[in-house]
Order: sequence, then C-alpha cells, then structure tokens
Amino acid sequence: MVPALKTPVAIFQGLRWDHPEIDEDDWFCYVAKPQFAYDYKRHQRRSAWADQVLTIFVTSEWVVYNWCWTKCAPEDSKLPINFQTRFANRKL
Amino acid sequence: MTASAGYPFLDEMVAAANQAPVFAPHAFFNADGDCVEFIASDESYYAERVDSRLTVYYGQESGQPVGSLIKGIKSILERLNEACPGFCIEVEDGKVHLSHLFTAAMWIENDGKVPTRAVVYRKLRKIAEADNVEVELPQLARC
Repeated sequence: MVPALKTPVAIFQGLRWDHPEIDEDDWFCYVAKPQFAYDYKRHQRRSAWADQVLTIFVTSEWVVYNWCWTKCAPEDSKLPINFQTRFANRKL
Repeated sequence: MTASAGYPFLDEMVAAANQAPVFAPHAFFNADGDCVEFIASDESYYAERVDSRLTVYYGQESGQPVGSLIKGIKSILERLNEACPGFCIEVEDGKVHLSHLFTAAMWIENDGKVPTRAVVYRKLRKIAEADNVEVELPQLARC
C-alpha cells in the first residue's frame, strides 16, 4: 500500500455517494496498479488481479481509512469502474 | 518466498500474518471513515458499490459476498433515533448486532427501484446473523 500511495496512477478528490449527507468533498482516492497483491487466506504474496486496481481512501486529515481492490473501468484499465460518477475531480 | 523488491511493506505483512490468530468473522466501526466494515471470511476480495451506503466485498475466488462496508453510520443512527427510538433497546453496552444495522440501512435506502439491492442486504444480514457478529458503536452508548 505504501508504494501505491507514493506512486499512484491517479488521484481523485471528492467522494460521491449520491447522498449529500455522506458525500466527502475534501477526501481523496488514490488509485494504483501494483504488481503484487496479498492473499489473505494463504498469507502469501501473489500477482495482482489483472482486471482490478487498488483504491485507497484518505480523509481530509490524511488518515487512510480504507483500501480495497476494485474492478477496472472498461474504457481504462488503470482507473476504477464508474470513476466518472464516484469522484468529483481528478487531481492526477 | 523471495523478497519483493520495492515492496518491503508486503513482505513485512506476510511475515506478521504467519503469527496472526485464527480468523473469525468480525465488524468494527471506523470513526475516521464514519463506516462499519464487516469481514466475514479470510478470502481476498474486491469491492463493489451497491448504493450510496453499501459496498459489498466479493471473494476473489468464490465470487460470493465475504464482507461489506456501510457508510454514513452517524446519519443512519440519527435517523433511527428519530424514527424508531425503540432501537436503543437493541443496544447493549454500546454494542449492536450487525444484522440490525443491515436492516436499518436497507430500510433507509430502499426506494423499490432496484430489487436486487434488497437481495444483497438480506444475504449479508444472513451471514452476520449466522456468525452472531456484533459491532461496537460508541455513539449509541448515549441511548
């Protein structure tokens, strides 16, 4: 996760949940396409899933509160699916 | 296994995991993210957003729901306290059964337009019930 934060392929600002009371205008999503992933069940390193990107969510106070693998957008394999509606602005 | 050049964090994580306790389903309230995360299995997963509150974690191998993230917990609780003050009865020492939270989020989000949403909520609720998963919500201690 640390290399992913250092060298993201994209950074989005403003998390959109289609819900004004839980939208987060100043939060960020870092998107990375790492070479490796972690297999929770077998406690092993493995190749990353080719059809997915790693998304890391960061609050306005720079707290990493969640990270997960997400399916790629069909039009760009380096970006998460539905990136057009999930985020307000692309910063990188 | 060989060291991952440029990925020392991953190597450290793998080494630490070998000493980790046996997995058990669990849920926790993340105050920074105002969300409750539920991990029902030790299978690696990918996330898929279902609606404005619920993200489901699907197993990378099984393709089945193996967890979830419920967002906007504070507003769910505020709405619950307004609409059904009796919900506090379900809270013991700040802990609530996760299945109740799934029910609450499902009721709040249900607009009848996407029936498959309810199916997903029910599936997750069933998993949480089967494992008797509770989550600690400090805000509810005020009830």
